[in-house]
Amino acid sequence: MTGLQVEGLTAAYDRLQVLHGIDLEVAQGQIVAVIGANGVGKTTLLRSVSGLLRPRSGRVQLNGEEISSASAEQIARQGLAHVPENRLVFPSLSVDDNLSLGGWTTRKDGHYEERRTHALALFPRLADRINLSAGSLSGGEQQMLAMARALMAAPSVIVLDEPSLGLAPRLVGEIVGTLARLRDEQQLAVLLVEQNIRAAFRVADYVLVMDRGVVVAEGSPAELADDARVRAAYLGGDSTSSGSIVAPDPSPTTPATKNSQESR
Amino acid sequence: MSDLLQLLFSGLAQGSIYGLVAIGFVAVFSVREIVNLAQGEYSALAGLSAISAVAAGVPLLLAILLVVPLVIGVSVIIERVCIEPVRRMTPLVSIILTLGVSTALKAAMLLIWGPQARGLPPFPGRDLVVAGISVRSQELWIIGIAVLVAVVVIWAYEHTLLGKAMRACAEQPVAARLVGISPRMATMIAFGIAGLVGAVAGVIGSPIYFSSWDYGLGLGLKGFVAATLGGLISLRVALFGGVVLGILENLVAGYIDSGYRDAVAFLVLLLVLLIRPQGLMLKASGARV
Ligand SMILES: Nc1ncnc2c1ncn2[C@@H]1O[C@H](COP(=O)(O)OP(=O)(O)OP(=O)(O)O)[C@@H](O)[C@H]1O
Ligand SMILES: [Mg+2]
Repeated sequence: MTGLQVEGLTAAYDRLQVLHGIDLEVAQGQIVAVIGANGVGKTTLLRSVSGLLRPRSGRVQLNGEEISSASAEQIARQGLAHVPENRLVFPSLSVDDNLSLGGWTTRKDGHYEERRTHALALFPRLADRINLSAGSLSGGEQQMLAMARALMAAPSVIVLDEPSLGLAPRLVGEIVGTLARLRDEQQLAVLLVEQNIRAAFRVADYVLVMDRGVVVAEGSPAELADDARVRAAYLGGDSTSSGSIVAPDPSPTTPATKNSQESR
Repeated sequence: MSDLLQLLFSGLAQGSIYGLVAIGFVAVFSVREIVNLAQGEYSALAGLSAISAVAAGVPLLLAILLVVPLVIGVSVIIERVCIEPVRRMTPLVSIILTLGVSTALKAAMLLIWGPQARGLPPFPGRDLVVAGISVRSQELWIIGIAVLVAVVVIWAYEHTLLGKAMRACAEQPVAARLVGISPRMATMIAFGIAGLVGAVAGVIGSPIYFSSWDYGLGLGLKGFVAATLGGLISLRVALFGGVVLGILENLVAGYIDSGYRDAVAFLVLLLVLLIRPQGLMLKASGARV
């Protein structure tokens, strides 16, 4: 069993329950996007997967191993990388030092140089700024650095929290393109939380729509964009704009949506 | 003129001890916002233990080499027993906890060594007179060893992967965990460093400033004040702050009244509070360690 499986995941902050039973699966070589409005629990989902928040109940499996009670450090060692909301680069450290810390879990395996070269090839702008402090980079560059830092751990699963936030469209395209490359060339399993629906639909193989802690719709981008109800409720407005989100050949099959509004 | 030089030199020696202690405060605070009030006790414990070892016939150098790891061990055990199990640590909780540790350590030292202050024999060397100022060889040892240890610690934070990992924990703890750096490991190492600098400060200072069960109180206060100059998060400023504080104290004692010596630290603390509205402690995020 490889990739990431989440079953019946619930999570809460003290007495505020935020996730009410989330199921999802990301296979190697697949990009799964999670979309949803502000405050529905997308970040909480990623925090519960990567061990920053201990789930209340449910199962999280990484390459077949149960990780729902492991610490974030342990999960990082097991090959799941989390690119957090707001990037969280180490500001006073140089780009290079951020990369070497990204390789903390793999520092003794002897492949550091290879991985660094590869990360810098994916994000050439970082190579030009290798000795600058991470705090002096632009938002887009910090996003690239956060991604490159995550890749230094040679993960098999990578989860990203709104990597396109606050970036110019061209940069969003660049980042999304890099994700597609990682999926295709390295068979990475990618779980992508996005509010930029256009970007998410362009790159994802499968999309989950979240609302108030539950998945209210899921399917391929084409299926979802075809579903009038989903489109009206979650993808924002009229058919012309959302129609242009997806590939030009939306399949005519009935969308595999389910409504599970009731909380557990 | 030679008066001034004399005061500056003595201040430099005393201040480099404060600088070491200040580094201990910063090492611990920057990783997890823990104010370790037992920091001063490490120096007293190191000095007293070394004195006993020498009295038992252990050569001075060997005594020092034994005492330093001993105090590092004590500091790490304190962390494991008193700090690590606490689930929601805040600076205030840490102050209460380490105040308890400090009190217990002082009581234990009073029981073992009694109330009187004692000194280690001075390190080898002859006192000199240079340009009209008297230079005690022990002061040269203090400055040399303190600066060496401080520079090595600072260098390690800035140039080794482990040191960078410690800084990462300090300025972006969530991201540090996400790349796999354990905050528990980092806290333990920080306490180890605190033990190291405290122990070194205690043994090198003991021959002229003496060691006693309550020596750590004043020393801890001065180290803390020096550390607040850099918001408790900058190692370099802590070292520098210690040196400045030592020199200021000696100038005040020499030109005004030696009774005011200990008031200098409070005055500096007051100034820091007045000048920096964010308070004594800065958030490590975004700042340089
Ligand atoms: N540390 C926390 N403590 C308490 N409540 C929290 C915490 N973090 C998030 N919440 C609450 O949990 C809910 C879900 O937050 P979460 O950050 O997961 O949403 P999100 O979908 O990522 O939103 P956004 O799109 O704005 O990033 C919100 O109601 C939020 O107020
Ligand atoms: Mg979020």
